[in-house]
Amino acid sequence: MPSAPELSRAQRNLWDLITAPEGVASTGPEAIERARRLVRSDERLDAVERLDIYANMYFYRLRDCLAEDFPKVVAMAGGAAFHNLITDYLLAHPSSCWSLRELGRALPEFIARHELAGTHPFLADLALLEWARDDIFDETDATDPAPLSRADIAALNPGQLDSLELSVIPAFRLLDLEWDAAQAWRQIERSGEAAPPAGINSAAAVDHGHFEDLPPAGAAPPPRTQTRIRVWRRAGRVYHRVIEGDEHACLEALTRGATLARLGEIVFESVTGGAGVLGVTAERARQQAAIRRLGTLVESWLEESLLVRLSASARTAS
Amino acid sequence: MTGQAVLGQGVGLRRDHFERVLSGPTRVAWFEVISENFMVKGGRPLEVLDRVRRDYPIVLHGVSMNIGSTDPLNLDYLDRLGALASRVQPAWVSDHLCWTGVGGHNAHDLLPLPYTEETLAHVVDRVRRVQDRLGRRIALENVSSYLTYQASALTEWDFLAQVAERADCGILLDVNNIFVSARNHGFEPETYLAAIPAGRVWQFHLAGHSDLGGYLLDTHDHPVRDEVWTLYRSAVERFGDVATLIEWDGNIPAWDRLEQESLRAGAIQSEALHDGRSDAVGA
Repeated sequence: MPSAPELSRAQRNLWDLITAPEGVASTGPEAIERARRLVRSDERLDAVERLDIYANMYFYRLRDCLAEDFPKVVAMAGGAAFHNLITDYLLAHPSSCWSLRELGRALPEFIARHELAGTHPFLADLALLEWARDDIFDETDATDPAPLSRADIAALNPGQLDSLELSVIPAFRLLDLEWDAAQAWRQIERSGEAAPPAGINSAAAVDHGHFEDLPPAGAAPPPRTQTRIRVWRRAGRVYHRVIEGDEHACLEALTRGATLARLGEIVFESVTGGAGVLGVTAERARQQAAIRRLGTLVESWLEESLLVRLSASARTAS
Repeated sequence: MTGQAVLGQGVGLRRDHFERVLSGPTRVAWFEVISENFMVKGGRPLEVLDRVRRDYPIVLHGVSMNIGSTDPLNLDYLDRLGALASRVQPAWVSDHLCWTGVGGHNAHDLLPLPYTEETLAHVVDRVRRVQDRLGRRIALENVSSYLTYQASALTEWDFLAQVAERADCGILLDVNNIFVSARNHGFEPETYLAAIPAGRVWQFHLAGHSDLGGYLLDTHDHPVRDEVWTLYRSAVERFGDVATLIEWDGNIPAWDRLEQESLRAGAIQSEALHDGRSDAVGA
């Protein structure tokens, strides 16, 4: 039994009325009757009109927030298709967190199952890329432990290198996509069509027609090809880059914690391409190739401040 | 007197102005930030906030406390807010006298309450528990509203005044919201001001709104309207030298324009305080 039963009833009533997807009046005479029992009408506005102000603000505020988080999905789909997508999304995933930041977390997966995926099969992967970028924008800073530098590595005894346990900074994500979403992202970025369509404020409720008129960007669909991407934040800015399979495998291992020796094995397997027993000369050549490749990878990770020493607590947890 | 710091005129700190604010001195005295935007694990927003805090007082202003809801208080939310307050050491923490969600869902809107004795008791109890949890008193803001519940038996101003008195919290008096609600519901804004206990008002908000013909919408995307400046002057005459903040969240102008709006608030406040003193001397 709630401590304030009348208030509880009023809130659930109002919630149902203002979250109806087509507005209060469209839900039929029973809803209109409920609206009038809940809210006063006067000579300025009827109860239904008053509730519709809140119904509009509910939908348009959340849609505009998602449009700001997924501007390239909006650009690819167009305003009208995005509007319809979000109508369906909010019915399936009403916000359950106090932070608007979390609202779009389930959108990529939702797009994959939505009818929009029929005409835009790459859209869910593009949404995954945008969400990964959003998600690390305010992820934990790498301060304890701080990212490793070249000097940190150089200071180590060569004998310690192989057993050095490493991980990646918190503001880091790995993606393994079916479509080259990075190409779509780049195309839209270059065409300049992914500016956020509206601010997060109730002003959007005044001029929402404009959003639905946004045409699709007209960018060509990206190729359907396995695309691995790393996404990271450095000095407050978010970056992403398409990477090769061996780098993806190494970074995936690093997300769980791995030694340089383990990374060497991963790269070696990649260089040998899963070949069976090799001759001594061929094996030595491939080992050398693997060492050079790992060196190149480690250099780039250090350059981009991606690596940290695996902390004792992380080691215990894993 | 409110017992709160005399901060002068401030503005809401928004992403568009981060670089300008960090680049050198400004003519505003303090900043208000939306608490939830900084209740995050790390990254640029927190770094900016820490740097701004070195030079200015900060007020934390939340939009998701959900103080009027019949859902249980969100203790995780409150603890994160408390952690941010420990980090920032704000002049004070505020949120809205409203509800934002029920049944575990959030509308991310400031929904009005039915003004009844039952709601009053419910809200007062929750404000007390929030203040205990945070270890500090909070201020609650009157929201713009577009509807009145059939069940409401109290006026909004009586409800706000009673919450503040019974829960021993402060009031963030949004002058624009009073004006908007007055037009939407047909009451006199001066009546509202007259009912608010002077010692409870810690802060004023000023903002722009949109006239949609049948009603006013609190959009925060315009300069403050002349009628709201007039009402602000009345508020200063009644409540005194209260910290005043300009909110501008949509169609955000260049920094200089926002600063001008804040300076205008300062000029009106000085004038009203000076006139008030002259009247007192002449009386």
